[in-house]
Amino acid sequence: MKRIVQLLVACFLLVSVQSSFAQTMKVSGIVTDSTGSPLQNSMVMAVRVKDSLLLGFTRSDKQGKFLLTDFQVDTFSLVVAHPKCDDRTYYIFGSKDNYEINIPNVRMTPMSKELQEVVIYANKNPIYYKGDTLVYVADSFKVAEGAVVEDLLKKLPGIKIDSDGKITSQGQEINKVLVDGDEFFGTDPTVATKNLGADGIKTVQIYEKTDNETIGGSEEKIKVLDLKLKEEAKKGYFGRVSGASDMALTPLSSNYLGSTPFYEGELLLNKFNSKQKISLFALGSNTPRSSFGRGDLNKFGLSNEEGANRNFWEPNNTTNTSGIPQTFKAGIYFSDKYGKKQNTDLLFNYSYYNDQLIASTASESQYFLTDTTYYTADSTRNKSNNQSHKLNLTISSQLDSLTLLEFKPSVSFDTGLTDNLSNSNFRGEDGEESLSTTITNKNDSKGLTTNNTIRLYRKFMKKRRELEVRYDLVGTNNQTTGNLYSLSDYKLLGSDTTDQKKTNDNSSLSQYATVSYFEPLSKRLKVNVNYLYEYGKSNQIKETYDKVGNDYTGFRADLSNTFDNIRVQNRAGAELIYETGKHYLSGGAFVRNIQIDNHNLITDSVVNQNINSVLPKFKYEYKPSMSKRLSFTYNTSSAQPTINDLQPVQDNSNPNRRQIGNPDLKPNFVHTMMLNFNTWNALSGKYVWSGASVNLTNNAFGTQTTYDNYGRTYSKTVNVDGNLSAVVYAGAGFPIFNRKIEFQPGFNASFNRTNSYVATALNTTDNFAVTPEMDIDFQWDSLEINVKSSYSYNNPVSSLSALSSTPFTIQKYSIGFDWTLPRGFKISSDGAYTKNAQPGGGFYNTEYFIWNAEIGKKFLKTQNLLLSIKGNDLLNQNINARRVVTGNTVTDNRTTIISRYFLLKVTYRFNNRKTREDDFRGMH
Amino acid sequence: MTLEVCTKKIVAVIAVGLLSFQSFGQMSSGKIVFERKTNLKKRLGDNPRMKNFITEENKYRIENFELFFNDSTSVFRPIESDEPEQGMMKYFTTHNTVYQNVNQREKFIVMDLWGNPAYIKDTIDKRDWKITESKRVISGYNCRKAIWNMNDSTRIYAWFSVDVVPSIGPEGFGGLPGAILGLATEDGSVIYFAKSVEAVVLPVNVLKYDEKGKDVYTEDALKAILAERMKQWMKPQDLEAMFSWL
Repeated sequence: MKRIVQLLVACFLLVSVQSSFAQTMKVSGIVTDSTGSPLQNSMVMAVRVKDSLLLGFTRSDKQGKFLLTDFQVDTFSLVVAHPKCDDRTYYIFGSKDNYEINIPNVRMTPMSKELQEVVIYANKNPIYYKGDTLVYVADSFKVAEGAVVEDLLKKLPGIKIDSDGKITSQGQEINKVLVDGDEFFGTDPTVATKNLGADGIKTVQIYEKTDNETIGGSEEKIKVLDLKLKEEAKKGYFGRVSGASDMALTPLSSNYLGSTPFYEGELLLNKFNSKQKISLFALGSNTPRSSFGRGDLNKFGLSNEEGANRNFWEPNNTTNTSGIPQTFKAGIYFSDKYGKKQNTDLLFNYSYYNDQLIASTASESQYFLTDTTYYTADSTRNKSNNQSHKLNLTISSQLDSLTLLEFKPSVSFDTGLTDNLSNSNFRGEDGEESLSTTITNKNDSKGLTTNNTIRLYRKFMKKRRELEVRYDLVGTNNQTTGNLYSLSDYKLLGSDTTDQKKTNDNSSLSQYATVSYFEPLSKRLKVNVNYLYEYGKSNQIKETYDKVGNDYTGFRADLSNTFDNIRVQNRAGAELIYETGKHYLSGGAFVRNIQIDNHNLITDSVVNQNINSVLPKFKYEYKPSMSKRLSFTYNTSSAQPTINDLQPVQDNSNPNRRQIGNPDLKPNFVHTMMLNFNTWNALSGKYVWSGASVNLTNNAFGTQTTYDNYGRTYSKTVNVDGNLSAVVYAGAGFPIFNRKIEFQPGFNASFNRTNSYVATALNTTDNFAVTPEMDIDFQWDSLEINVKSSYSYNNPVSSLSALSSTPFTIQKYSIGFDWTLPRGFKISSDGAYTKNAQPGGGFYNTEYFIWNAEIGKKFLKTQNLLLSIKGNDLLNQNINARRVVTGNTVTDNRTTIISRYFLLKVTYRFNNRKTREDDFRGMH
Repeated sequence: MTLEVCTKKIVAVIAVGLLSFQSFGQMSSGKIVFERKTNLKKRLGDNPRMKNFITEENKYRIENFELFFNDSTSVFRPIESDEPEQGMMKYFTTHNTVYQNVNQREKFIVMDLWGNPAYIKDTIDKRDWKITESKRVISGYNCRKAIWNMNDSTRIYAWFSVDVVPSIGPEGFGGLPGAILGLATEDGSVIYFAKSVEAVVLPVNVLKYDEKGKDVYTEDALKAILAERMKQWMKPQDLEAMFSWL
């Protein structure tokens, strides 16, 4: 029957080639019920036989008449349907001689039963039934080398694949292709059948499955083809390796080249199978680049590598700008799933870091007092080398559909070596040098930090009811041994030296237990109650010895201390939360008691602190639409002084800037208010973000500084009231010319008030700054240009001396472009000009222009090999200069950093599928 | 158990009894309420950024829509929910209001672009439906299954009922001999399911739309603009999918 149908279609096709225009079908008729009365609104549709395509449909009118037309001549079935009757089907073989068909009486019969026919093929090959599952043993069917699953399926008796990749088994369509019971690469069955190698398949199984994802639940059965993989076939890998160097050819000056080559190198590798993932990473450089891009962290699962100095939006711009760095890091991530339902996840990570930094800084400081002003000029050279080994483990188990248990231990071993040398010159108001000092500090430290969390999270059958129980154990142990050597030359008054050995042992162990519970009170209202208990113990042993003869044996009781600290906190919190689709309102407070016993073991004296505080909080958020949001939050917090601030012993590691503890310090109290408004329109591309925040701190940890007649200082942490910081900011984007150009104005204004004491006089420093900005982006198909500009005006005013009112400005202008060219070429370059200015001139007046450029080309069919040449700071002008204003002090700093260097870079990306491996850019 | 059979064909005849359902008769004006269930994990799960915050718990997003219709025109629109939103999940599904005029083959769409409306006026898409023998009952109505290949990797199943006469459906769907009461991607990641089909008196002017004073785009023009503006945020295939439902 089917063969005849196809034959007729073929005949028709031959004929139709000769006709100059396509003929349309016309089918008419009258539909009646079994008694012969006309049936109105009967559905009549034409379905093409060869592919079931709906060619057209119509409805019968009051007289039961229908006319179905406007589709091309074809072989089709005409289905007539009416709710009260069985369908009636006609097969129509249209041709150029047979395109007008009239069916005078379509007589519909009342609903009855119907028969369907199913054809099953079977074969002698290794095929068997296991229950209702038809199983083919893949290796029994020979396929060519390199064949994919589709080739294998074509060899299986009873299975047919058409040119679109549609699979039928025993004449029934396969609805889904699964790999080991799961959809492997999304939903397209051909992804699995055309890409998986046939040699990786163990068995092919065909069965019926109730489809719980389909419409309205589990009514429909679907036919599934399940590819069971051999164990070794569930694997894959991808990775990247790159190396870059200047071969020591970067000219350091016009006369000679650099002697040590600049280099950057990295390796990233991810190997996976169905459950397990292993990632390896390594990075080494002596350029400012010291971390991976955000996309790489995601793609390779390096979840612990998000450093603090990373820039969210431009991850590749992470720079180390405080000196000459040398970085090496490497590590491994391992993750696996366990349990019968794969409900337990394990993640293990070990990483090693080795960072070296050599920083040379020159600075000039002015200290403004009521009666006089001191000046110092310092030059320092710091060398540091930090190494750490970090181990992280996470085990999380979904115990049942409502309960999650998590265990996260981590430990870090750190060692650090520092070697600092500083030279200082002190001058009085008259400009005469009164003192010069040389100080050498060498420290060798090692430490251990551990952080452990056990967390149980439980949901309940009642919606929005939640319980979280959590226990944290945090421990630290640090040991430092160091040497201090200083020489002070009092000019006409002779000199003195200090040569001391210092040891410092710190350890602490804190335990926290937290319970938090959410209970819905009504549809919109819920309450959260929580309780925290903390018990912490810490201990510090500080010892200083003077050099006597060749040994450090002279114990200095005034610079040594042994201090124990026990801290107990009880904190209860409650919060009411009201939530609708557009509004969110919450308010609550913490009530807490902290008891601290500070035990000085040398003097055997105890200082007790018993602190009660109430910490209210409030939040309101309004979301009129998905693209607009207004929020206001008010929060309070209170922090305790650190053990270093409390202990009554001098820290003379910088003999010019001695610090002493204050056992009477009280905890601070901070009020924070924030207001934010954002809006965005996807179609026009316009957006506005804006906000304001105010921070008011009472009992803030301020400093009290006393000056001696040379300008050397003794400082102590004291409580001060009325520290304030306020900021208002806004930014927007306005695209024009179909978003080819976008203007991005921005504005930032801030006011900071810091209180401190100079001797016994209160000194209030108000710092006011305004920064307007304007960026412009140009975007064409292959070329992107961006222009940035900003101007910043700063005016710090100190109440103790009008002299310190020295406004300064910072101007920044930059332009850059990215140009993608044919044949895999890409050119990019950017230049940034910075000008710092202070009326009347002075140290701070600097300007520099930094120009970078890069050209690259991609190679191979997959474009996976990238070769590029990069020049950093071509004009060799980079400096790090900044002004810091604190209290009555103004300090201008300049740090030597890496300026010009060139790199020739080779990058190769790879994967086991030998396809194009892209960088992970953008948010998707 | 191994079954050894010779190579010739075996023809098995299976009787399939068609249940006779209570029929509500034919309808050509009224209201259909749809529930849409989106499996966010399936729709966005291959995106490594999404993996972290779509969990087994929040992977299903359920939203309701209403479809008012008479014999030639219809409007499909979201039913606003006042339930608190769980995070950003609302950004990952569409919220379109679609007016269709079957006789004039014209549609007017208010597309909700993450909080701001965009207007589309275009002709109703012609989709190549394949009719299957598969049948089922939705909300008391007998439905037949039809299949449309949205693109190379996505197939759409539509269950239409001959008993609801207008050729309409959820979003911009239609073109079948009867209203679509169920619509789903083959993998079940998006499912529209009629919860109720009622012959109600239509609210006044519910089928009317006003395009005055609005920037009205064609489907292709708006798609091109968004492809340019959202390229950093959306994969091209996700944007394509967004428009394939219109």
